This record gives sequence, structure tokens and C-alpha cells, in this order.
Amino acid sequence: MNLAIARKELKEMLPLIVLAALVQLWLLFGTLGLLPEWLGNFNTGYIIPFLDPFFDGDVVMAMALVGGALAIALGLGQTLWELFRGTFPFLLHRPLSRTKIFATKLLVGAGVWLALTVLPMAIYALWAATPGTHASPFAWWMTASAWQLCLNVLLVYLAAFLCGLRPARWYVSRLLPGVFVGSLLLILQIAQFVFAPLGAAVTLTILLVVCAGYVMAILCVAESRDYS
Amino acid sequence: MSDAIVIERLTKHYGRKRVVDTVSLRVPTGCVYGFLGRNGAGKSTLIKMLMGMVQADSGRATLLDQDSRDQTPANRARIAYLAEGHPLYRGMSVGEAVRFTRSFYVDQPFRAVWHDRFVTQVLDHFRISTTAKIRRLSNGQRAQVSLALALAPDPDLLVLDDPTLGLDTVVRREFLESIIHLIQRAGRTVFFSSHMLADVERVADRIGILVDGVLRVDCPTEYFKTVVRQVVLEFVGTAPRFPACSGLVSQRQIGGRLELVIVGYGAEHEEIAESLGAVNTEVMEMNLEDAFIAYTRGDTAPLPTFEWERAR
Repeated sequence: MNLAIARKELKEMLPLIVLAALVQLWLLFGTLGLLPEWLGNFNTGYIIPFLDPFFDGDVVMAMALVGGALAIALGLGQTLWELFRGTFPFLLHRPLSRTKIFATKLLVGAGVWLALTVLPMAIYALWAATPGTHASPFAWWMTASAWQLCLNVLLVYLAAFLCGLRPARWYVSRLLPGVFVGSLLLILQIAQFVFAPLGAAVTLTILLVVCAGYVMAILCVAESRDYS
Repeated sequence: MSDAIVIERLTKHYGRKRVVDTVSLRVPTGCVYGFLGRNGAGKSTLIKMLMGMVQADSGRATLLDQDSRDQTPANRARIAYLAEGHPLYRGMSVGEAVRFTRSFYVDQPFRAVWHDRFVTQVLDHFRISTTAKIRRLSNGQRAQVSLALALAPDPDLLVLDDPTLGLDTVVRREFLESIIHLIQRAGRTVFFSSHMLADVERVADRIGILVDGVLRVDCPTEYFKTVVRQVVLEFVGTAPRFPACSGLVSQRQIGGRLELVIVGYGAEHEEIAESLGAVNTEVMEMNLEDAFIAYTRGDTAPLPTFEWERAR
């Protein structure tokens, strides 16, 4: 990982990151009942964390959506922004392998994902697991769908990155990696609720394999595409 | 001495259009090579292929003895590249851009150098503050910052893609003079593209002219100026068309005058002129700009003459 590139990426995406962090903090603190009424206190005392959206007050889904929106903006921003400004030739001519440059970009994205999607979810889960914080049962297996949502967000980030990076003649073909991920997530969701339910382990494995595939595709496209 | 750049049959298509057509050339170490061509001739594409930014459809290029597609970081540290338009991160200040670029050259496992003092001197010379934001700099100042960043690692090879594009005359002259002054190190090779003939004439030892993706000229600048001649043939009545022959670059018919541009004008051409019935032949030297225009413009349709001219 190249620290100079990591710092640059973080600085360029700082407004987005700060905005997403504020929304996530608001959602988290509101749900934990740490905010005054006028700022939005979602803790009614009747929530059952991680049970399902209805009882959960939708906070898990809301956090995932904020993480997803940030993932799309980040993935596209890290690629299209360089292309539109024409700065790729400057960056790629530095004495560093192309793989390392793009791996650093991806690591920054993964770090932001960890900090702004996984961490709020983990804090919420820890709060839910702490006795005396809410009047409802809690078991760690109940958080499986939340971690799956986190992986979905990671996959959305990788798809957005690939959409921005891969050359395409027109918008629809440029969006193909995103369309594929969207379809996959939809199928997994339907498979879980309608057809024979997939085990969490199977779903997570599928998501991890697709994530790995997308990372490989990104590094491959980064190496072979024209930067004209 | 070995060649700093070797290009062998490099070809690139965009769609059906062949933008670079089997170009082969060699740039000796220590040479300042001016790469000329009109807009859209394929200069930038060829330079991007050299720098590994664009993949060639066929052919290959080597820079400092390494394939352009597989440049190691160590070799890339020896090559400076100023891309067209001087792209820099506009959100950074000049100081941040310097620190950002510097971080790739210091404390590396390969041999790389970075001259902090040189950067400071260049920025001071151009009166550019390190606290200034890149986005607030003029095109000329951005070019100057790019130049400072490109030269700080003391590169053996400089590749400049139209470095004076978008600069006004004064800044362009100042920028070129800086380049001439700064690159004067023995053994340093410079390959730069331009469509500013005066710029090339001032700096280049050798020139190449690319016309529609084809390298039409590759020779020392002085040789090019001495060998290309404009020949004006005058006829009684309408001038005929000059037949295709070796060395004929272009011809233009204006009434009874036939203006030819010929490389290596000699006996063969004189004989043809006589056989066509030319009543007067005038052979003139050409400056680089006129020769370049003749080369890149190609044949043109006969110019129309005004009716009152005919009536006289």
C-alpha cells in the first residue's frame, strides 16, 4: 500500500466520507437513544435489534443503504474522477506498479467500507449484545443478515469501481458490472426468502467469491485498458 | 551509444481508423527529437503507446532498453513524462504536489533520486509559491510546475507530449527556453511532440513528421531544411499536372503556375519540367514551417481564379 496515494484518495473523497459518517453516526446514536428528541431519537424502547426491519426500526437497512450510496460514489469517484481530469497518465507514470496503485485505491475503499459500514453495524451489534440495553432477546446468529448486507455493500463498491474503470462505448454497457451485481443480490435475496433458504455460510461464500472475482477483474482491466 | 527509444512497426486502430500506421524509428541517446504532425495525426497516441498508457495493436517499442508495456518502476523513475495539458491534481497545493510526487522517488528499493533544491530553484525562478493551489495556476504556471516535477528525479529520458499547447507566445518562449536550459545534461534524451514549428526548429536535433499516422520524415533537422525545395514552374496557359515521381511531396496549381514541393530536386525533376513545357523554373529554399505545411497538407485541388483576373 502506498501511503501517498492513500492520503490523496482520502483527501479527494473527504466531503463524501464526512457526510456519510455524519449520517451513520446520526442513525447509530439515534437508535441507541443517545440523541435528544429534536435531533431524532429512534429508540422507542420496543425495538428488537437484528430481528427484522419491522421490529428493528429499519436501522440496519438504513445503515446499509447509506453505506451503499457511499460505496457507489466512492467507486465511481476513484475512477471516473481521474479519467475526467486526465490525471491517470500522471499517476500511472509514477515508479510504482499499476497493480500496487489500484490495489491501494481498493484498500482505501475497503477501509472506508470497514469504518463507515461494518463498524457502525458492529457497534450496534455490540450494544444489542450488551445485557440491559434493550428489553428483547439477542443471539449473535441474528446478526447474520446484517453482515451479509455489509458484504453486499462491499460488492456494490467493487462493481461501481469496475463500472468507472472499464472502457465502454455507451452507458448501459459501462454499467454491466453493476447490473450483474444487482441481479446477483436480488437472486440471493429471493433464494433466501422464497425458495429453499440458502444457508448463511453458502450466501457469504458466494458473495466472497464474487468479491474476489471483481478484485481480479479490476486489477486485470487496470493493467490492460487504454488511458487515452 | 545505444538508442534511448526504439519503435518497431507500432500500429494502433481506433475502430476502423488506423491512427498510427506501422511506425518505426530510433532516437539515439542524447538526441533532442521533435515529433511533428497536425492535430489528429497520431502524435499523442504514439507517445501514449510509448509510455504504456495505450496498448499497441501490433509492433513494439523499447525505452531505455525495456519494453514500453513492461517498464519496471526502476526504469520508469529514469523517464520523465509530461502528458498533454499538464495534468496535475487540482485540489493540491504546489507544495502538496511536490511532496506527493517526491514520495515515489525517495526511500525506494531501486535507485532513484529526487532533487529538492532543484524543484525549489525552478519554482522560485518562475515565482510560483508552494502554497498556491494548482487549480488557481495559469496553464503556463501549471506547465512550469509539471516541468519541475518531471525533472526533479534527474531523468535520462524526457517524453513531452505537446508541452507548449495552450500557452501564449511569451509563456511558450519562456517555457521552451527553460527546457533548453534545464535539459542540457550530457546523455539526456528528449522526445517531444509539437505542432509549433518554431519551437521544434529552435530545439530539435532531429525531427519526425507524422502524417495521418504514417511517419513520412525522420532525419536531422538541418538536413530536412536543406533537402526540401519549393519549385515554381510557369506555363503559357493553364499549368498541367506534374506526374508522380520520386521526391514529389505536393503540388498546387494556380492558373499558369505550378508550385511543387520536392525532396532532393535534381536532373530527373528538371527533365520532367522541360517535357511539360515550363517556360520558367524557379527553385527556392524553404523554412521548416513551409516544408512542414507542404508535407502535411498534401495535394490540394487547383485554386480557383477570380473572373476579373482571367479577363485581364
